[in-house]
Amino acid sequence: MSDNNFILSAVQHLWPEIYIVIAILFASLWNLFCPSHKELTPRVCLVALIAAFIHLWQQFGGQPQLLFGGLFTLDNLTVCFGLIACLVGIIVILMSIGFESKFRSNRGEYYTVLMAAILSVLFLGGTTDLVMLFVSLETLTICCVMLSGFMKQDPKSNEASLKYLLSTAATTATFLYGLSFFYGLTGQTNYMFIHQRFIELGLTPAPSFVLVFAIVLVLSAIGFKLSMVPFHMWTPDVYEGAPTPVTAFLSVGAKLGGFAIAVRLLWFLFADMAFEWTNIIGVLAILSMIIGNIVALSQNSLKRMLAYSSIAHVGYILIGITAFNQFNPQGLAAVIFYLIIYSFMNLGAFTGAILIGNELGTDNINDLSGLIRKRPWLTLGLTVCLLNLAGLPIPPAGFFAKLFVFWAGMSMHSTLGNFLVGTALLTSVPAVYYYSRVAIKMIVREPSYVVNNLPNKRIRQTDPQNNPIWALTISIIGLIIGSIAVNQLMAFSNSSVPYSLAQPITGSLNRPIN
Amino acid sequence: MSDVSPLLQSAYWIVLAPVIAASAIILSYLLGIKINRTVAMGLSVGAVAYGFIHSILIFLVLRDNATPYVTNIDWFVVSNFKLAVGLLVDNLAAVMLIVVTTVSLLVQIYTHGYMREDPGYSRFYAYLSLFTASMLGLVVSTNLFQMYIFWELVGVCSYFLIGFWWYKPSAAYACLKAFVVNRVGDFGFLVGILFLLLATFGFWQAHNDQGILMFMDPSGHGVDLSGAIQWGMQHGTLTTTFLGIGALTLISILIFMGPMAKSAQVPLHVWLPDAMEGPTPISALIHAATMVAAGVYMVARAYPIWLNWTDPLHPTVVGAEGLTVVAWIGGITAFIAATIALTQFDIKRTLAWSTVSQLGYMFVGLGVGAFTGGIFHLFNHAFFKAMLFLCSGVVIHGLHGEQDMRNMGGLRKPMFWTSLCFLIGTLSISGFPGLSGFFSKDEIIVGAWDFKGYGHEILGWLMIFTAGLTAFYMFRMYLMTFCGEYRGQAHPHKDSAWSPLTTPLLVLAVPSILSGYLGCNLDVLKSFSLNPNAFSQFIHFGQHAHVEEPNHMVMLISIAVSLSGMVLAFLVYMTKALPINTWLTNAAICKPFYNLFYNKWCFDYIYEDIFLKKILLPVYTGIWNLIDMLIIDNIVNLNRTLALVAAEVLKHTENGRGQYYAMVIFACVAGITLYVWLYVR
Repeated sequence: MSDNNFILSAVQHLWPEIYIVIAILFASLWNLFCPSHKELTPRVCLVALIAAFIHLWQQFGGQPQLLFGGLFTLDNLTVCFGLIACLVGIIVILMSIGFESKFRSNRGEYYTVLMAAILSVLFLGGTTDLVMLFVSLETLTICCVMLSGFMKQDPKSNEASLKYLLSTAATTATFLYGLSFFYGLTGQTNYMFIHQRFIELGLTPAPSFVLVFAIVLVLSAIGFKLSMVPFHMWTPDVYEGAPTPVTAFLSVGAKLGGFAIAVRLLWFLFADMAFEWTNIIGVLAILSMIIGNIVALSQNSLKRMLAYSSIAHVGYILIGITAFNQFNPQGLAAVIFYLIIYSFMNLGAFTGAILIGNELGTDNINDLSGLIRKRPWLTLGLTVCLLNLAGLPIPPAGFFAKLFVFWAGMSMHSTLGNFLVGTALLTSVPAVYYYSRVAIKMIVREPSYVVNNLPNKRIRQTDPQNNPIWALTISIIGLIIGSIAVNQLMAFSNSSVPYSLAQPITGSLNRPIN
Repeated sequence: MSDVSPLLQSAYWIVLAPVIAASAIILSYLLGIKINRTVAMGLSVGAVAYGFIHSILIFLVLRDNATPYVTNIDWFVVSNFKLAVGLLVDNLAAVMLIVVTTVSLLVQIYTHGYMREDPGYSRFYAYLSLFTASMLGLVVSTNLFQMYIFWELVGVCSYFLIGFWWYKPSAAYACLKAFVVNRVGDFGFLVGILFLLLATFGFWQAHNDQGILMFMDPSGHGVDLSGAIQWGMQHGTLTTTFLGIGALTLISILIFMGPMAKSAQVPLHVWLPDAMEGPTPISALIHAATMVAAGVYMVARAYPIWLNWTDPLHPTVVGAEGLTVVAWIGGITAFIAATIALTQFDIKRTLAWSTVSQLGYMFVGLGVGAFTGGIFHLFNHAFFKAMLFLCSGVVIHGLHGEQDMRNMGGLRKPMFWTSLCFLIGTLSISGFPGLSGFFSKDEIIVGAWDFKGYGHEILGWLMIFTAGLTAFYMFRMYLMTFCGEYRGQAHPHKDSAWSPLTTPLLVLAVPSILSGYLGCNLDVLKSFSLNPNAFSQFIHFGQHAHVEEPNHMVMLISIAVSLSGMVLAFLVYMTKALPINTWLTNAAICKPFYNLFYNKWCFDYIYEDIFLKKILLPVYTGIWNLIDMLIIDNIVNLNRTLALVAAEVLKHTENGRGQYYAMVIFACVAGITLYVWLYVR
């Protein structure tokens, strides 16, 4: 068997990724050669993402496979993360159209980098090898750094990019340091081999100090990606400075990558040492919920409020991660369900912020008063997303997502679980307040000066708002479908959980060595 | 279940068709495709026309003793808790389906004439379809939770439609008022449902195959509301008392808060007359015939909750506290609303008060155990009240928006067909013998007469007296609007029999006259036999068709009272032989009463000026300022302090912030490692 066959047989399974690569190449070249037809780039990206989505959909439920000798695992979890990533990509691209004029001549590159980031999320979902993990994660990180600095004229954007770069450099260091410990202890890079060696060396379930240190080092990188407290310091500055579509992507897409790493690593490597990391993550989750919600309470900018509240949402999702182990696979299903719904509601809310920013030129919450008189659909859409983020059952998708996660936390039957759910419930109270405050302002109050100055109707044909409106509509439709088909979506999430390490996997773990 | 008719199994299309129509219109609007108005109307009317035909077919199938059809799918499952949504088509649902689709179909045709010049024509049809779908979904709900969801959806559509002309401040205000009042009611409703669920949770867990709070069990094992309540009475979860009120009574009253708001019963009735700010087709469809009747339907559907379960196996109506509350709330509402209707001048608002009063009658019917009578009145009332509202719409449209009856009069000549229909409706609602309203109202009055619960001596008389008031104010309306001399300035349009405005009226006139005969058994009238009539045979609660024993005495009294009400109105407003109203408004004894009625018993004043402005708002702002002072300010201050501290630290270390971030990350890693190593392990 030659090398070529080995790679070709693996590449057959990577069509979704290939579609996206084609779109990346197209986006990077098209604007150079045909600058007069700029508007084609996002369309091609959309088509590629939709094609990838459809292809992934067909892959769902297939036999789990190891590709490239164990670098990449193709199972339902991979496909599931890929599907969510494509969905996020579609919505983010839709909301970027119309906004990207602020990027001046860099419009094409914007889509190139964005698609590369989405691609790396797809790869992160299936990574089962330390090398692959590091490469994909750094691709994602570098893309995110570039994206946050895309408004070159805006010093805030530059500052965000630089801050992100500096702090990500620190976590890359800790991450790589942690990975090197794994390699040093075991001499392997593949998760399964590493796990085997852990058992052979007697490091699991009772890890040595070095291993605990390595786990914390890796967790710090995950925590940074997820903007968990105390690794969240960069979040507000970067989220505020970055262009809003990028903020939307950072708050959902980049976090998706973080969760993919967390699930795979924690599931494959540290499954037997549950006690160590559930405690760390549990405590960090509690901190995230408290600080995220309380700081969001005092924000007056819609974008900053969403940024801080996304920290709190990470806290909620982490309850599911904490609850998740062999005996309680529901935890991961709840996480996936939450991620799907969260993608819709958070992207919808950010789209609302973009639309408002595009038209009003401000995202101060006080300026939004009475917006329903001028932009009823936008207001209702944003309201639905915000109320879902708050966990109010209108429609009940967000409510159910929270309920599943809390239920998973309760079914841990431990003090930590009860404490987590208790904190989540308590901190939901300020969340309900600061989300519904925006909704009430927009609907009940008299129009503010800025809103009064809006034209009564937007001009439909030439309006850059058309595509973001679609992003909002898709989010709302997603929420409604999520509310109606709760049971089906939960079944989908459940079947994405890799129930056992011993499940049959085809493909060899050994790489041919030349 | 092989013999279930496919007509029943496919009944969900009745609900889905309007959803599809509405989505198509909304999507085309979002896509920016300008669809033709006729297409929007065609989609909407077509969907409801399909529903109408399907409903009729379902009715025919069920009349031939087909078994009711129930199906459920899981909606939300967490371990042993299961919420289902499904489709329930039984006789009660079939009657409601017919009412909703018939009225909705005719109102949608009417809308074409009424809203033709409105820029929001297509939007209006989208809302109408959405409303129709939600209402039909409510009708075919299989459990209380599903009903609650559609209950809210119906409410949302109602707010959209009340506020359809949102640029009018009065419409925006009415919309807000409806929203707030309904929140109060729905809060009670939801809390009641949750209490009921808590009290009977063990029962639903033991029978986990279907879902919770089911109205009907298709397998016949009694896994339904009455089974659950029986279980609760036996296991003592429903027999505990709070403050001397039984748990079941408390739950039934809490749940009844929902219907009180939605069906506009005292004291939560204040929103309905204001809701007349919406376009008239809405008033006819939502605020007269269908949505406001949802409360009555819900009580009928979940009837076991209100029954007296002292003997768990044989629940009775007698002495049921929950039902007594229902009956008295209904009775008081009927009376208060009728007295207010006597004094109003706005044609639509007078009709709205009349609706409130008639809804009160329906609750009296359910409350005193005349189950069939209550539903029968709902059925008849839907047709003639929708017709009356549509008539008022024609008048308002023909007078270019004039709603004050003092500026009308003599419209019988230009608007002959409308006046004819209005007369039929007036006679019907007044209980004129032979028209539909007579039969159902009589059944309720007889039921109230035979009532054994608290205050039974008064309730029957109150209902008869209110019937007289009804006849008086309805004829006052008819005479002021259509007879005498024209008093207005605007030139009235003529109506014709074949315009989209008038044809629905004429169609609705047929059931307004005839639908009563469904519930009339001439044998019963002739002899004292208890032969059930067609309607009560079709609709019944429990094993046997229930029918009120005809009481000729009561019937004669109520006819006499109604007729005297009509005659009195004729004398006062037509021949002006009796100057009663000038006497009433001026005489010292009657003036306070007149003012009380004219000011709608001061409910609005009490709620807004006293409760809201004097009590609620100060308390609210007080609490809010306190929270603001204690918590929000501190958070802001804390943030500022933290930022200041950080800035101080940074100033001294003379580092850039990026490095500071890296330092924090490294410190945290070290700290967490130490913490885990020392404490957690």
